[in-house]
Amino acid sequence: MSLISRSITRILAGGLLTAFAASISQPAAAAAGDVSVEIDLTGGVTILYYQSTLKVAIDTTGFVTAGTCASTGTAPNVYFDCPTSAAATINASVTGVTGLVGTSGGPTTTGTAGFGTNLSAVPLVLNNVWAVRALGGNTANTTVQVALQAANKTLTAPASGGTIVLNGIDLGTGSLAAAPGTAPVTTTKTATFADPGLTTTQAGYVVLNLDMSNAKAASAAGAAYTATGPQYVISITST
Amino acid sequence: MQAFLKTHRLVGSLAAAVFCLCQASEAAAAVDTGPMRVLGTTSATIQLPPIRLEELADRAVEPISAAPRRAVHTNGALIANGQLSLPPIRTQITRTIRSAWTLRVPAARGMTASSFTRVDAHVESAAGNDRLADPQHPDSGIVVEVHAKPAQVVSMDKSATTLQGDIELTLDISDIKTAGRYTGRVVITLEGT
Repeated sequence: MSLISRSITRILAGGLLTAFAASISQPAAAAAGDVSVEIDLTGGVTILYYQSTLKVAIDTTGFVTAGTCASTGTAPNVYFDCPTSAAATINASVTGVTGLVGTSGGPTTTGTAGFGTNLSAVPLVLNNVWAVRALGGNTANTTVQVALQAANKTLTAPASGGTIVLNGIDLGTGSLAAAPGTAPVTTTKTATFADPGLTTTQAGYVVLNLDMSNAKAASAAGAAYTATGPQYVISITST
Repeated sequence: MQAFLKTHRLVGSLAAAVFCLCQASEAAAAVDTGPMRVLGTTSATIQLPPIRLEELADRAVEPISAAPRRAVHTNGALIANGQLSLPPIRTQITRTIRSAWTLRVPAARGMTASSFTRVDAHVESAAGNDRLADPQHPDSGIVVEVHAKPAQVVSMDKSATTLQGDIELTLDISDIKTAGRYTGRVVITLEGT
């Protein structure tokens, strides 16, 4: 081998060695470890939603047993003439969307034919007026309470002088399509249910038992029966 | 030329042998047996702060406005149906583990902080990857997205450089069905050149 050839060989070999050496002196760095973590979600998160202002227009046409009374007019002003032993006439009308109303012409709760409602105890079912998100807390359940406010249980319609008295209250989960099976109470009522979680909700209803025996037709649309304060207070009493 | 080939083969064999030794050393280090490759983490379970109400919603009691309702006398009651339009809650919360890991790099190894160019982390638990699990409720889990912050040099002297890093966990509570203690392991891997 010539001197030139030996030199080339040494240069090439040196280059290869340098390349390998470079790869050896800078090995891939790697390290691994782990950390145990825990998050305690037993402390509890509860959120109560409620409809803060309720305006309810009561359609009194349903108070009359279908087919037994002659009616005139069109909704929301429908008048009924129901046969009774005293030949009384019941006029029920609904005015506007926030007022109700009542009756004139001497409605009675007994001795009538066709008038199928006891006006002193009319359940008003307010479906989906509250909802709860809940997870954790003292138990796996949540309790919602509703309290009737005695100071504001009488609603008045200044224009007509009529009154509607809230003489009972009830509370439950889900919704109702008929009168509740439980008797209303005059103080507080609770409903207890399993925590629904945080991304799902448990909705519920409130029932107000209305004494409408002194309700009278409002004189104008919007002349609603009102009181100065809230009629009920809803709250979470246990999580 | 024949001499060149012999020399080339020799150099290649030597280099391969040294490389293999180095790889063997790396493989051993990968199981945390060497001083270089031990990633320092706490052995105690890190308690993440519990979820607070204000992280999910603005208030605990939320009044909702709704349209007027019409009550119709049906089945012995006035039925007033309606809907509450509930505001959504925030379903993702973040927790940061400060200095989740520490790595001491001896100067003799010729490595620096910049040698570790990639920090990866993920969560493992009985509920599977990327979830924290509640042993009492195996069907419920918290989906976790892990973000490893870049390595930071916290000290440097002639003998070694010490690196630390934070880990950020984004917890998605959408799938939580029950309250409990949700646990898991955050596996951290550092890689580089």
